[in-house]
Amino acid sequence: MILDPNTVSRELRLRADVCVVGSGAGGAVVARELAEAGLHVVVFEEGRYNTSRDFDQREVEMYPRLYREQASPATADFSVLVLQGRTLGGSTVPSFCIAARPPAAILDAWQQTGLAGAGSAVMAPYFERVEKALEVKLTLDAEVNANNARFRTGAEALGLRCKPVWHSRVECVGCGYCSLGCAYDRKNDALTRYLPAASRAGALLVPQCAVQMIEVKNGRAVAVGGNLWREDGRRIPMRVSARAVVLAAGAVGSPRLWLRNRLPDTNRNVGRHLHLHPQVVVQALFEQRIEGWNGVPQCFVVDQYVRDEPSGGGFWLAPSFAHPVTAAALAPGFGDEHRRWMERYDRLAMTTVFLHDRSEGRVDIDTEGRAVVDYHLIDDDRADLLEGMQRAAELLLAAGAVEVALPFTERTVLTDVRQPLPAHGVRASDPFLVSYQPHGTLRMGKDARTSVVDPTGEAHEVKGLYVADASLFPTALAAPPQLSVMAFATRVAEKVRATI
Amino acid sequence: MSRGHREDFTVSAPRVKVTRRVFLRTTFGGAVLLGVGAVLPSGCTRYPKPESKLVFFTAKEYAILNLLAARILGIAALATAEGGVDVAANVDRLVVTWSADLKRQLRLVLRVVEHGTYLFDLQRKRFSKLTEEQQNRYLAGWASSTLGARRVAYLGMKALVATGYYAQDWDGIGYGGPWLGRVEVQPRLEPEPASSTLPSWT
Repeated sequence: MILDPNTVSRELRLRADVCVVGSGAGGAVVARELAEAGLHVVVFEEGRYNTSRDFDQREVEMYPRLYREQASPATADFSVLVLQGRTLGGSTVPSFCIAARPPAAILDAWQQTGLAGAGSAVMAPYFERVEKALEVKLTLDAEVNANNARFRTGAEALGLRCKPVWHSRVECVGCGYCSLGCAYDRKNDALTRYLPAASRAGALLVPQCAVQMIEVKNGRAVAVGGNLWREDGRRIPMRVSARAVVLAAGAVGSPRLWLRNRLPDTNRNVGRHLHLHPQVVVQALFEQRIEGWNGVPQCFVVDQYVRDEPSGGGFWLAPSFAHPVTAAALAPGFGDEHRRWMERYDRLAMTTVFLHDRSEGRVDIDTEGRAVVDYHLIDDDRADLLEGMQRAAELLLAAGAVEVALPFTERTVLTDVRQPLPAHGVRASDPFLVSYQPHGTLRMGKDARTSVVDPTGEAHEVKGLYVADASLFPTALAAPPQLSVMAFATRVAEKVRATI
Repeated sequence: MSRGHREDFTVSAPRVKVTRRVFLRTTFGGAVLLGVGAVLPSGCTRYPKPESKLVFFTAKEYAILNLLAARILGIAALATAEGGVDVAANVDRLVVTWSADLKRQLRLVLRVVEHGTYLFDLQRKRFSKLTEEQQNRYLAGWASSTLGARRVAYLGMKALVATGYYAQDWDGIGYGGPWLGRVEVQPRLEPEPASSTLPSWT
C-alpha cells in the first residue's frame, strides 16, 4: 500500500517488524523480500511518489523532481556533482537501466580479506535472483542507435574489446529519455517491479517522509522518526517502532543519518572511504546525422582499461548522450563557437569516461545536519582520467569524427589525437566531474576497526541496524553499482529475516 | 544507552563543525571572489527596466544575465530578450526554488562578473559597457582562470543560461522536442494509486 501523505493530518505512530529508510535499489529489494516472507514492513522515501504519468521528458522539470537539491548537490569544493535520486524508487528511476555485475576479481578479493559470502561464486545466486526479477538481458543489435554504432565502429577499428551491456528494459520503444524517468514503464526497476511487489505483499510505502531520527536503546535500533511533508507545507511528525531498521538512503544519505543521530562510530569509519566513479563526457562531431537522443542511450562498454583490483585504477568507456540543456552546458567554448557546436547537435556523438577511482572521499555533516561531501582526485586518478579522455577521443576519431571536444573548461577541440592537451592537465573542477555512483561510506567488513557493518550488513555497534545500499561496498566497484546493490540487499534481507 | 524520542527531531551537535557547502565553497579562492562581490556596487541605476515581472532578479541582475546568455550562447538577440527567448526571465522563475545560500551566491557572482572587469582585466568600464570583443576576452579569462572558483563560477553561469534557453527553444539544432505530445505510445502499466488508509496490520 502506498500512503498519500497529503491525507495525513495528525502524528503517525506505527509498529512494524522492519523499517526501511530509502526506497531505491537496496530499500525496494529489502522491502519486497521481507514483505513476501510475511513480515510487516514500512518503507520511507523522502521524495515524492512519481510515476510514468509524471515524467514529461523535459530536463528543467525532471531533474529537480527526480534528484536531491535540484540536481545540484556538489562536493565541498564544487568539483564533482554527486547526484542522488529523491523519488519513490530512488536513483533507479532516472538510471540508464544498466544491470552489470562487478568484476569477479573484485568480489573474490573481498572474500579473501575476510568478507565471508561476498565472493563471486557465493553471490551468484543473489545476482541471478535479481536478474530474473528484472528480466535482465543483453542488448540486441536492433537496439543499437547511431551513437552506439559509432562507438562500436571506433572500438573495433582500434582492436578494442567492445562488449554489449546487460540491461533491464522490457518492450523498449527507444525514446531515449531513460535519464528523465521512463514515461512508458519500459524499465524494470525499483519503481515498476520491486516496490509494487512489496506493496502487494502488504508493505506500507510512505513517500514524502524525511527520516531524521534513529532511536537506539540498549545498543539496539528500535525506532525511526521524522516528518511527513505535505504539498500544502504542513509537516506531520511520525514515529515507527520496529524490530529491525534498514538504512538504504544511499552512500551520502545513510551516513548522514548515522552522523546526525550520533550513532556509535568508535573507529570513525562512518562516512569515510567514499568512492564516486566520477565521469566526464567527451563529445564528437560527425558529418552525418546521429540524433543521439533517440534510442537506447548505452548499448556497449569498453572495459579493458579497468584494473580489476579492489584498490581501484583505470577507467571504462561507454556511449551516452545528453539532452539539449545538458549538452549545451557541456558544449565547448562560448559565443559563436558554442552556437556553431549546438547547431550541429543532431550530428553529435558522446562517450562517457568512468573512472575506477582510487581516491577516497568523505561524507560529513554541517552544523545544520546537512551532508557535506569532501572528495579530491589523487594524482594517479588524474592521470587515468586524462588517459581516459584521450582514449575516448581516439575511439571517436577512429569512428570517423571530424572534431572531438574534451570537457575542459577552456575550449579544447581535437581533430587529431596527437594534438597537445592543456598543459595544466586535469585539475580541480577542470574538467568538472559528475557522479551518479557514490559508494563505500558504511562499508562492510569482518574487522570492526576498519568497517561499519559486518559481512551480513548488520552494524558492528548497533544490533538490529542494517545497511542495504551502496554504502556497503568496501572498495570501488569498477562497475555501475545498481545490480550489486540489489544483490547484496537480497542477502541483507536474508539475514534480517533469519534474525527477527 | 537510550536515545530519547525527540518530538521536533532537531539535530544534536554534529561530530565535526563544518560550514555549509556553498556554490563557491569557502576555499580561499572562493572566499576572495565572494568577498569582492560583497563590496562591489549592487545598485540598479542605468539598467533598462525589464518587460517581464521578475520574482527574484533585480533589473540589473536581469540585464547582466541576458547579456551573459548572448555572449555565452552566441545568440546576440538574447542580450535584450528580444530574440524570442527571455533567458533571464526563465531563470528568474527557476531560481525561486533554490536555497537561500545558493541565491546569495548567484547574486554575488553576477555582481563580480559585472564589476570585476578592473580587478581581473584592468578595464575601467563594467562588463555591460564593454565592447563585444572586450566582453568575449573577459569571459575567456574566466574560463581559463587559474583561480578555480572563477572557473566554477563560469561553468555555473554557462549551465544557467543553457537552462534558460535550451529548456524550451530548439530552433536550429535539429531536435524536435520530447516524444510526449508528438509520438503516440501508451504506458505499459497502471500505477497503484496512493491511499489514505493504512494496512490492517498497522
